[in-house]
Amino acid sequence: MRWFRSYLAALLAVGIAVPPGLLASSHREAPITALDHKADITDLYAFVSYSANQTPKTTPSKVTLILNVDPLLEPANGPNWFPFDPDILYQIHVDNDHDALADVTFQIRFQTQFQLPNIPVGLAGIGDNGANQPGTSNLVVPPQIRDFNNPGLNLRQTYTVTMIRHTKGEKEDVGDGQTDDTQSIQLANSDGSPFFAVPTNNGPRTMDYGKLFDAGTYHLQNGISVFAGTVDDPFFIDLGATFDTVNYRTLGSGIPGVLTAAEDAANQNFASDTVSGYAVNTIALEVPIEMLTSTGKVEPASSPAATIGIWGTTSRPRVTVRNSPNPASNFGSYRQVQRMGNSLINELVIGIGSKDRWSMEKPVNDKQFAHFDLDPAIAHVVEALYGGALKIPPAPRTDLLPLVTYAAPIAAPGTPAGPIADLLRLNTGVPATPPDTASRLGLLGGDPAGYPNGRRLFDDAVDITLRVAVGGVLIPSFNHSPNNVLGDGVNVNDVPFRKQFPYLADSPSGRNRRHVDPGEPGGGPVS
Amino acid sequence: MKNIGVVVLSLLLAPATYAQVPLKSATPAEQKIAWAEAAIKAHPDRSQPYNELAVGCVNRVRETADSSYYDQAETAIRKSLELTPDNLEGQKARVMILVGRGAFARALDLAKALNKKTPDDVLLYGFIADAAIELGEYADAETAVQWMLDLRPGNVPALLRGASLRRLYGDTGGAMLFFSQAYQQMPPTQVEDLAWTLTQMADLQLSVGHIDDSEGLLRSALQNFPGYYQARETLARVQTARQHYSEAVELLRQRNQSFPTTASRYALAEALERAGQTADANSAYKEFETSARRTINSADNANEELIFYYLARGHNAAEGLRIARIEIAKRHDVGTLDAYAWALYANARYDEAQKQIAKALAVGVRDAALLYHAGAIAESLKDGSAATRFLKASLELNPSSETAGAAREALEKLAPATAEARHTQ
Repeated sequence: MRWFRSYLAALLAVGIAVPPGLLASSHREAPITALDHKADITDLYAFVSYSANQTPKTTPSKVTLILNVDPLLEPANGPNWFPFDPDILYQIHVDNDHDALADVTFQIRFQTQFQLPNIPVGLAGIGDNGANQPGTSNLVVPPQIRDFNNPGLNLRQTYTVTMIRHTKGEKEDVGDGQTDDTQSIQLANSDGSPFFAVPTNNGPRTMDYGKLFDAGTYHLQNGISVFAGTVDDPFFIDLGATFDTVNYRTLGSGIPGVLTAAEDAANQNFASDTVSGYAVNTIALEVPIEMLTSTGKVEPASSPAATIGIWGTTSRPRVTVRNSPNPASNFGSYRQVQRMGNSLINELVIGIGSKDRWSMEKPVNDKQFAHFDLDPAIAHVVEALYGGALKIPPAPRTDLLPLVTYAAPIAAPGTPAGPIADLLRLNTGVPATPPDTASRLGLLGGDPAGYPNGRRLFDDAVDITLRVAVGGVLIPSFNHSPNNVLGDGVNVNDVPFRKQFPYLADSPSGRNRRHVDPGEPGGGPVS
Repeated sequence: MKNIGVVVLSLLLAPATYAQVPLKSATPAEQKIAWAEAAIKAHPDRSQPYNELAVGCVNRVRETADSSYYDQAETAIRKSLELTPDNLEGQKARVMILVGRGAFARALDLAKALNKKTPDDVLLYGFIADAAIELGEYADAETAVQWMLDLRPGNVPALLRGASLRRLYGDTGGAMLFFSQAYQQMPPTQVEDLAWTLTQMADLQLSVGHIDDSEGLLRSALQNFPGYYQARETLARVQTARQHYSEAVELLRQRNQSFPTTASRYALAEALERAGQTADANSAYKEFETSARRTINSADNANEELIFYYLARGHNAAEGLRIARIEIAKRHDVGTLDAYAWALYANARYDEAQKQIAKALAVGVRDAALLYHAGAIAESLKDGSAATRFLKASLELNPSSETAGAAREALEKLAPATAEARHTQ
């Protein structure tokens, strides 16, 4: 038998060590990302920018895009903490013509430097002048870190941001973006200095985290602002209860997972925010709206051109079957590890046997997952757990189409629906709601600028998802109790957010962080 | 290609480490079968132990070439699917059996259907690739293997299949690299897997004329898995390349002592002929022909060998072409394309032959016999330039191939002076 016939390869006894399906919130939701922590996207946010003194109905001017990766970072976990991975290509994509293909892409790449290669920790500092070897002038510990040139920022990261306009639709190659149908712009400070990533906050002796945070927030001449670094994880959820087969705490209603009207209206927590005290790595961009829309203008909410679709991806260099990339097959130099549009889609909707494929696909190919999107398994799980007390809409769940197509109430009438695709859709013409009057329940709470019209940091994605995906409350006949009061009892983040770009809160201090557990003050009941 | 020497050297050294691992008397497949049978005894109402038994049986076929294990595997899968209809692992085992039985089109259909339902199962892509490679659907195979590599970078099943594709695309060095990476990841207890991989690498080395390296790898394979029939078959070809025909005969006789295949019978007949044992060779050819003709219309057949037999020793070019047409109607992998082209050539249908061999070459494959065939076909079409190019390429690729003598002879006829110069180098 000649070598061409190699079918016995199929009979190889060696198996493949496929790990069990590890499920957890937006964090480590698919088997492949459970193995690749650094490339794991935790959350994606997109909203019309606002300020602390925002007035109602102000014409929008900018959009903030936030991609969070590398979940559940314990701030005390030195000595290397949580640098971004220079091997990962981080991207935020924007579709502005409703075909689920990227028209604008932001590519973010990181580089790592060691300023003091012989020091055993990535971060070290004390006082104004540091600490010398006793009796000598030999500096052993650098001064407290207050700027990016302090040598105590031993493991220091810089990054680049490239804005790519795909003039003829998205190319297969997500590598350098230098194909002939793209225009690339390297974003830069006016003085040419690099962008520095803000490190984790390991403690008050070592650094003045607030100063670094401010110094690491860059406002560029073209109106774009950028920020990258380790911050408080803005996601809030009773993660433990959610993934103990939806075993929510019993609160005022006496029914687990069902809130009373008072609980629902309160901006406080009745159960523990499992993510409290943890950090996450974030990439935040603030972009003038006219750079994102297909018309190059700020469009009114009633315009079909006002609504854009956003998704984030992480990609790693790939090993190809062919030793060199094969242009005929459009193989690029990267493989996508993960993507995210709407919150909790891969976690709660996509079947365990399809999560990796979903993660690695492009949104435009999501038709193959439509049976998951329009008949979410989580709805049936919750229905079963409530033993018939909770009625859910029958499949196909066309009420969920606004999450996976361009449709009302997010997009204006006349907006092309486009293909089924998991994008975070944002009507850029809807004015930002002043933060003091905004609702954590977004659209469901009568706040037109909230999730699922984009997603703000304080939008309660868990409660909204439970009510929309499980309760079916976008259908008027299902918009009643208990469907419209489902919730995990975690209504707000454990720390307040900033009210200007990048909106994120300080990373918890590694020395003094606190994880709020059930039974503790602010942690709600154990049962 | 520059790295191949390093790779081979490291692998020749590797068995010293593995030799310290005590070999159990039972082979990996036998152990798997024993565990599965015990599990069935404990839990006869569960489907998974039957799936394990089926996979163990399929593995045992590769260890022994005893295809009767497929029958046991099928029985186990019937029971598994009876207990849990459509269970994924049972369906995957079904695909393995179909591939092993040569029912590639059915295997491909089933694997694709399962892949659609469970796209995260990495091995399903591997089964798609296996069946697609056999059918000559190389683009499909490449897509499937690329998904495997993307889903789990560096996983062994993907590397092995990637190596096969790289070889088909003419990337010998890249294939060797993938094989080597896969080999280094294999547990030392999986002795047959190790031996199989070493045998593939040895075959690769032999195909580019690296006879000593090939033999070294095969000795390592036999050290890992003593008496391994696949290693013996390839070692016989090493001896043939060295023109040690009697040694080749002895190796193939040993190999055929248990569960000879139709193909291994043909190899023995060829070896006997080369060794000048004409009577035994004629008898062996007859035995082969009788055996091979029984399966002409089966999925699992020896039609490729039968085609070449009729074209060369059987002196029945028409029958060779008839069988080649049966095969090409089912698949268009490079092996089948080459056999079909050679059958057309033998029947003086040179234009058609050229078209078929061009299809095989378009894949990118680099194989001395195939290049020789391409040269002979070009020569018959009076395209001396192409003929010279192909024949030279064949000899440069592997000066000790089984077609090297014929290639030199053809080259001499085309350009006696050049060939003479090559002869004396």
